[in-house]
Parts: sequence; C-alpha cells; structure tokens
Amino acid sequence: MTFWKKKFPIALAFICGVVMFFRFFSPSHLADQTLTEFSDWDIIISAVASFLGIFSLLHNHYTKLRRKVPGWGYSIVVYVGFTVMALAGFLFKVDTKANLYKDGLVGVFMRMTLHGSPPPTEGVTTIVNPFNWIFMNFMVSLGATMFALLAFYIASAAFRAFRAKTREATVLLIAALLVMVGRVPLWDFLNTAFSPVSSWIMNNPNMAAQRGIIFGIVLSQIALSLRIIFGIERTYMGGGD
Amino acid sequence: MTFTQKLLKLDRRWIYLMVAICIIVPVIVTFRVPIQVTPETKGVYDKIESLPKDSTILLSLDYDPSSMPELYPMTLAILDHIFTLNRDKGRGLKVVAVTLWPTGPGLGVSAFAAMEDKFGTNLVKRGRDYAFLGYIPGGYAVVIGLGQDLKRISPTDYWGTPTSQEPIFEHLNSIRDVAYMVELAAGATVETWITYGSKPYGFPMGAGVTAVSAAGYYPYYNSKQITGLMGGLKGAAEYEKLANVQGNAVPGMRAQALLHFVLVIVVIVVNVLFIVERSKGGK
Repeated sequence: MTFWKKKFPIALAFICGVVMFFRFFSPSHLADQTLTEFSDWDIIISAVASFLGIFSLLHNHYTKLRRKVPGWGYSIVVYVGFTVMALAGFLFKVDTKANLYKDGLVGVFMRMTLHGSPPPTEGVTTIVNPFNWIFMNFMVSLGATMFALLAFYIASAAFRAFRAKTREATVLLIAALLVMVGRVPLWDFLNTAFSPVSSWIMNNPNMAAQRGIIFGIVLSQIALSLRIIFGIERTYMGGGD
Repeated sequence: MTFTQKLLKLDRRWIYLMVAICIIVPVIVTFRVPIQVTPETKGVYDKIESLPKDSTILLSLDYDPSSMPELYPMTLAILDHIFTLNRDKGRGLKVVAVTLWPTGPGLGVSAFAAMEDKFGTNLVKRGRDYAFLGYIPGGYAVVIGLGQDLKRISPTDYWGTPTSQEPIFEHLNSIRDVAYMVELAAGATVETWITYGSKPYGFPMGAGVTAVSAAGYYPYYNSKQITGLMGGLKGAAEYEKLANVQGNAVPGMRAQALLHFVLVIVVIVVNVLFIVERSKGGK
C-alpha cells in the first residue's frame, strides 16, 4: 500500500516535473508532442476534478441537511438550484432565438431541444433558452449584487482605516488620495493637474512594489516546485499516513 | 464625547446611506463626466486600429457575473469597435472568443447576441465573422493546447458546430495564427495568457481587468508584455470614448465618480479631524 500511496505519486511527480522542465529547453518535435500530450492529460484531469467538486458540494450539503445544522435551509436552495440548472442545461440546446408567433410554444420548445439554433429573422421574437434565461436573470443579478456590496464595505473601511496614524500610513494615504484625485473624472481641471502625478505613482512606486511581489511569488513557486519534484513537499497527497 | 470624537466614530450605517445616495442620485440627475483617456487604455485601442486587414483577434472572457459591471462593458466596447471597423472601413476583422471560467459562457453569448442585434447578421455572422468556443476546463493547459492545435482542443464551438466546418477556422489552426489577443480577466488569468500563450506562441496581447486588480498589472504593461491595460469601469468608459461607442460604462462612471469624489473629501476631512483630535490629546 505504501507504494501506491507514497512512492508512486512521488515518482510520478518527479518524472512529470523533470520531463516538463527539460522539454522547455528543447526545440524538437518530440518536445512539442510531449507538451501536447501532457496538456491533454491536464485538461482531462481538470474535467474529472469538476465532477469531484460537484460530488463534494452535494455531499457537504447533504450532511448539513441530515444533521439539520443551523442554516440547513440554504442547502435545499443549493439542491434546487443545481437540479434546475442541470436539467435546463441537459434538456435544452443552447439556442437564444426562435419565432414564437411563427412556431408556437410547442415549435419553440422543439427548436430549442431538438433542432438547434434557428437563424434569427427580421421581427423575430427573442425566446431565451431556459438555461441562459436563468443565468442572465438569477446568476447575473445575484453576482452583481454581491459585487455591489463591496462599495459599501470599502467606503466604510476607508472611513475607519484610512487614517494618518503612523508615518507609513500617512504616505499610503497621500499616495492613494493623489491617485484618486487624478483618476476620478469629475472636474477637468483636477484631472489635468493630478493625472501626471497619478500616472507617475502607478508607473513607478506601484510598479516597483508589484514587481517585487511578483518576483517573490515566482521564487516561492520555483522553490515549491523543486520540493514537490524531489519529494520533499508531500502535503499535496493529502493528510493521513 | 466631543462632536469631533462622535464624527470619528460615526455609525457605519450613515456611511452606507452616503454611498447609497451617491449611487442613486446620478441615476436620476444626469451630468457630464470628463473621461480622460489614459495611455494604458489607448494601447489596446491603437493596436486593434492598426491590425492588418482580415486579422483574427482572440478574446478571452475570463470573468463571471460578479465582475460583469466592469468587464462586460469592456467586452461590448471592444466588439463594437471591431465590427464598426469592419462596417465602415471594410477591415474584415474576425473574433474568436473563449472563456476559462465556467460561469463565463452566458456573458459571451449575450455579448455576441448584442452585436448581432446591433450590426445585423450580414455583418456579424457566427462561424464567419466570429466564433465562441465557450468554456474549456483546464486553465493554463487549455492555453497551451490552443497553441498546439485549436481544433483538437475545441472540436466544436459553444453551439455544437464543428470548428473544422466553420469558415473562420479555415486558416486558423492554433492561437499562433491570431494577430492580437485581449484578455478580460477578473482573476489571475492575465499571467496565464502571458506565460503560456502570448510569449511562447508569439502574439501580442492587451488586458482588461477589474479596477481593484489593475495596479498589479503595471509591471506587465511597462515591460510591454501587454500593449495596453484597461482598469475597471473607467477603462471601459475610456474605450467607449475612444471608439465612440454609446455603452453603459460612461453613464456608470457618473455614480462611480461622484462616490469616489465624496470619499476623497470624507477621507481628507476625517484625517484633518483626526490630527486635530490627536494634537489636543498631546500624542
């Protein structure tokens, strides 16, 4: 069992890591083919992982329902939403237009489920496919609402946290105000005066800091990759023995 | 507790009310917002303007409904610009779109439907002038795969039509053949497209990102790894102004501009009060 649980994944990670590393420096056709093969496998694994994700989501909410944990009602919403979207996706083809007057309700249903997309014509009545209709009217509205809430939280946080308490905080505050004044398009004269300052801050101190962060991240990624390739880092195999 | 101290500890609900007023008022009262075009946004616009006749542009719509208010107007403005060039100047530009986000396809379909409605299907014809590949799972592996063999990674488009049968893919075997790419991203996919797409396969790219993440992409812009960078709703509004598009970004900027302006004033006032209060306390 140790072989399958430990040695095999470590060997696999080592072979894949080393092959892909050396492939990068080789211009040969074989290296190109290897890349194609590996990226194909990556796509397949990603697709399979999405099924695992769905199973995990449903199992998690099933447990909540079974144990009647506080807020278990939301788990019903998850199940209803999942079932409705899955059925809408499987039953209806992804068409967006049909002619209600010409085809009637049954005709529209048939076109959406069996015959693919009819070409839109002049004066056509737009019938949105159920899957797309739910997406545009539920998902989009709910997503936009969640994002819009950020405006309230950020304003509140700016009011409370954006204070010149220390020297560093003062520098940050002044920089942020200059960038905002240079970018908020309310008065031309303010933009004209502060836009170069705002651009300078974004293109120099900001960029330098961001570049430093990127270098830090990339160096950490290299270190982590080497640890995985050489079997030092094993947390990706999960917990337990 | 003094008035200043009370003001410094203002209940957050008053701030929420202020935000709500700043957003609602510009919807009722319209006023002009002076959109100044930045070189970052112009970089994307200029590149599209300069593309040779019959070029193919790749769009990656890597965002979901939560970032739609910022990135969807960008998508529409870019598509509008491309198809206007085709209509007015006979440029014959083609668009191939894809998304690496599972919640992205609906927005892509909607954007192309809007273009069909505006320009008519004679000018914006699916399979000939544009193609939408939908969502392909796999992240960076998809980008690599599209650079190796597009038709193998995406045998059909979003609507199930085989890509091998679509005229747009006649001379487009991989993303090595695209003349330009615009990545519209709500996450970290700009790096993915630069690392695994633009650099190895040698096509130039531009990016449109949410305002909150725009600052992080300046290193890529300054090193010319991306020709341009559109940040948030303002980036979309700038593009609308450049391309002369009547979209939702410029009207949306009214609310955003007013709220940002009020926030600047509030932050300045609060800090003045804070410094005064601190000096009184002898700290």
